[in-house]
Amino acid sequence: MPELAVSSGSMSWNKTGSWRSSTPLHIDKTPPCNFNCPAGENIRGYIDLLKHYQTAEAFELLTSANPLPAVCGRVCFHPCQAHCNRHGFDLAIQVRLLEKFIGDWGLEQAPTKPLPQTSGRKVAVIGAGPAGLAAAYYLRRKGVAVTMYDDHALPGGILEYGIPAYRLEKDVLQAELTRVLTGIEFHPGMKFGRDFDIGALVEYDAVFLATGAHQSKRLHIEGENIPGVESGLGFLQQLNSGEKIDVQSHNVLVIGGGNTACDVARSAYRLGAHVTLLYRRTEREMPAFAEEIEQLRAEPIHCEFLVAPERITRAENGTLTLTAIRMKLGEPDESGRARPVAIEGSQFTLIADRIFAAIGEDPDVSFFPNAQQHDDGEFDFSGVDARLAGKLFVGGDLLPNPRTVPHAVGSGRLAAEKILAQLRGEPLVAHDCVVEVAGPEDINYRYFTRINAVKWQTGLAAGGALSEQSAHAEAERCFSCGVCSKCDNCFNFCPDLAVIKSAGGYQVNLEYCKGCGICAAECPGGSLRMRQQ
Amino acid sequence: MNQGPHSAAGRPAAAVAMTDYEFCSQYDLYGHMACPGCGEKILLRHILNVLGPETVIVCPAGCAAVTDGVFPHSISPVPFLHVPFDATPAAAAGVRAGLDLSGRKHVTVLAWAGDGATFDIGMGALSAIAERNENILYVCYDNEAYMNTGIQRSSATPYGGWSTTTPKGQLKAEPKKNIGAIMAAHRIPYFASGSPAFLDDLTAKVAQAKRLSGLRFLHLLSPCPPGWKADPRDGITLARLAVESRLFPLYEIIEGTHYRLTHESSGAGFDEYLQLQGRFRYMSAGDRRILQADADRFYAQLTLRHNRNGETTVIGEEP
Ligand SMILES: Cc1cc2nc3c(=O)[nH]c(=O)nc-3n(C[C@H](O)[C@H](O)[C@H](O)COP(=O)(O)OP(=O)(O)OC[C@H]3O[C@@H](n4cnc5c(N)ncnc54)[C@H](O)[C@@H]3O)c2cc1C
Ligand code: SF4
Ligand code: SF4
Ligand code: SF4
Repeated sequence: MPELAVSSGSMSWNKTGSWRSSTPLHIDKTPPCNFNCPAGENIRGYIDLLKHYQTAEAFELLTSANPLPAVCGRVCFHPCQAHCNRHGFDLAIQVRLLEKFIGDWGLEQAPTKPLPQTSGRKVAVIGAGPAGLAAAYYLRRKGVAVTMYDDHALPGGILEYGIPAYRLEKDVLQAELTRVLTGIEFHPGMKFGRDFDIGALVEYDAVFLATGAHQSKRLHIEGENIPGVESGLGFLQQLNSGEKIDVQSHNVLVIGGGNTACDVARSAYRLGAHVTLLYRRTEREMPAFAEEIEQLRAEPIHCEFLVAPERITRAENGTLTLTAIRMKLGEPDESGRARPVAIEGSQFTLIADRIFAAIGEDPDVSFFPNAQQHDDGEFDFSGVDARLAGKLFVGGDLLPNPRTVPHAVGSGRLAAEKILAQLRGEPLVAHDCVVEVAGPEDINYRYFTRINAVKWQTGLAAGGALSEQSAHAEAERCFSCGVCSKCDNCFNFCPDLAVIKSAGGYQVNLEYCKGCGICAAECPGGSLRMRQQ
Repeated sequence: MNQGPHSAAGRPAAAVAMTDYEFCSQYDLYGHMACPGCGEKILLRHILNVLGPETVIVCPAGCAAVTDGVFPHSISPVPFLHVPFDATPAAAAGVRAGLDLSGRKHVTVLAWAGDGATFDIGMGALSAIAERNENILYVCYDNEAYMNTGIQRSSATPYGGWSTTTPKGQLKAEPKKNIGAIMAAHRIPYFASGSPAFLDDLTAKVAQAKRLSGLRFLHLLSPCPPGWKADPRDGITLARLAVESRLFPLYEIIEGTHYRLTHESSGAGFDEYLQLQGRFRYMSAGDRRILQADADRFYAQLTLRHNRNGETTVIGEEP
């Protein structure tokens, strides 16, 4: 007998997992930022890389979904931010600033990577807007030879000819487009239907059509064709092409409430005009992006809401007179917005030197005279020509999607994936399978300290662009909604050492886990939760 | 001041820079008998990780002794000596003397005792080893009652707390004993409080205690779901709320005189802390006010002493 009773065995025979009535599961949910990004970016993913100062990796991840981060960091309306779970807590993660930071980093520092050899497969892309560019970029990176056609002298589509330079600097756009177009054969000044036709497309394995929507909607009023009454998009095109436009001290009327109208009004104001914007509903119903409206309202641009044009006349001296009628809001229409109804006898007149109509744009598909269009706006090109059967893919503003740059980019990338799958003879594999979107209720707010939103935002935006340090600080605020942030909490707080940590992540040792739930309760972003057995 | 799990930008806590996976994986620490969510086992693994294998545990009757294993089995990766309830300090001193005589001065003697054995039953012997400044690391895991015998009140049970011996109608009428002041009165080299929710703070204190010699005393809050009548999953949440609400502030006392707050408690979460625990269910609004006022007063004293750091605070004198 030993002098002292001594235990010599371990307790590992005691499989305490049998005590458990609920089980912790590491199941990532989809962060709402990712879920709401029309371009399909892994936003949480690149934010996580920024947390670790891995800007090069962040650029790599971001451009794996969107080749235009510097552009989108400036012009995207960032639904990611609107849906950020941090929004209701203190201040949404300023994703757009982070995207811009990464994009600008890429313009200066992205290493030029050798492109793969082309495999002999060829795709034609018609339209060098964001949709066409995205498709071309991803196809080329998979070894497909891409030939791109655009009727303009420069690539970019609306980015080049629509969005004014004060919102998207020309040198930034050019630098980004140069990177995107590397290895792509670009034919400027080639209008499909005028300079080439279907015959020229037959040699390609697939055709991606992304000609956008450029035809200004007509006002359908008397006098809309008289000189001095012009299309707003045309005005922006001239301006962006560097044409001198003299509207100094002119009275300019802009009709419309969308992005084009806002850009026209703000551009004309910058050229020294006295600008009045007319919109037939109220500010709340304006289809332009919220930020654009906010900026418009911050400028000395006069807005007349609930007003519709009826007639334009022109005097000998060139002065235009617009007769307009006041409206009131009625029942909601099919778009859910209140329908404007004219108030009898409320006509009034406005004097102007120039009038710009910017009430929307339609796609021009006159190159396919027999194209069909469904009620929802979707084009059906299936019957246009037997030589293109099964080879024609469509994207960007030609689709009945919201007309935005990130939607165009997303549609371009998706088209590239479809084309690649078709070239391989395989069905398209959906890789971004959404299990569940992480909501505010998934966050353990005890791990996050509220900031002073106003102070923080001013501090971040100081200087217009983020420094590496401020990008890092901003990234640090991210909750990592629904996705493991490798914080180690579950591992550290388990009383039973039942969370196993390895290079690949965390696993629960169900032989010993007693199901206390501490790990799930202490998971900051909610990627770990308990399931009743 | 140590930041605990919060930092200015509000990032999630990378709770500790850990290597304990390697340490723990060398041993079979699985299969212990502690209740689901037991705080004592969270504390012990992190303490042992800092102390390393050259440690001897001296443990009196209590949850730790019972849950370590079923004889002849134990989870402990280091020698674990079971001693009578009141004898932890004396036994630890004996182990220390034996180790020293056999030339093993570097081995840490860890007295690992609950609040019953520390605040009540072993108090006399504890005072003795403190007065002699024995080279022992004494750690009290405080779950604020005699839990494994059936939730009887101890002198660590908070004012207004329920236990089977302070039932509804006769809730504990005395405030929790101020163990920090008692230990400071012995002018031991190091006293610190700690909470498992603040692992950075905790492990830094264990490391500091390990570096020093003489009697070092750590007072650690140990959430007990069955005894506190709380959901097991809330253990760490409660350990955090206790600190933030100032009921269990994180501080150190060096040489019995220098006070240092190691975490600034926000003062928030008092009501939530009580509300998450059945043991506080019977408290009247008045009792709650008394408890909170007491906590605030104590925290204010600590703050004053913290701010006077560098000057000598005379023990017993109100700051
Ligand atoms: C003024 C304005 C401002 C906007 N601001 C924003 C904004 O801030 N943020 C945002 O997200 N979205 C904005 N949008 C919407 C966004 O620009 C578009 O949704 C997006 O550019 C559509 O991309 P796309 O590639 O489909 O088409 P486009 O960008 O229109 O590109 C199509 C290209 O195809 C060319 N093309 C057309 N027909 C032919 C043909 N027959 N042959 C050869 N080439 C042809 C066109 O010339 C053009 O270059 C704005 C739109 C406008 C009009
Ligand atoms: S907190 Fe981070 S992960 Fe969550 S929605 Fe915002 S940006 Fe995305
Ligand atoms: S903390 Fe540990 S014992 Fe508790 S549920 Fe999680 S894995 Fe299981
Ligand atoms: S607690 Fe931390 S490490 Fe564990 S799953 Fe959640 S985020 Fe990942």
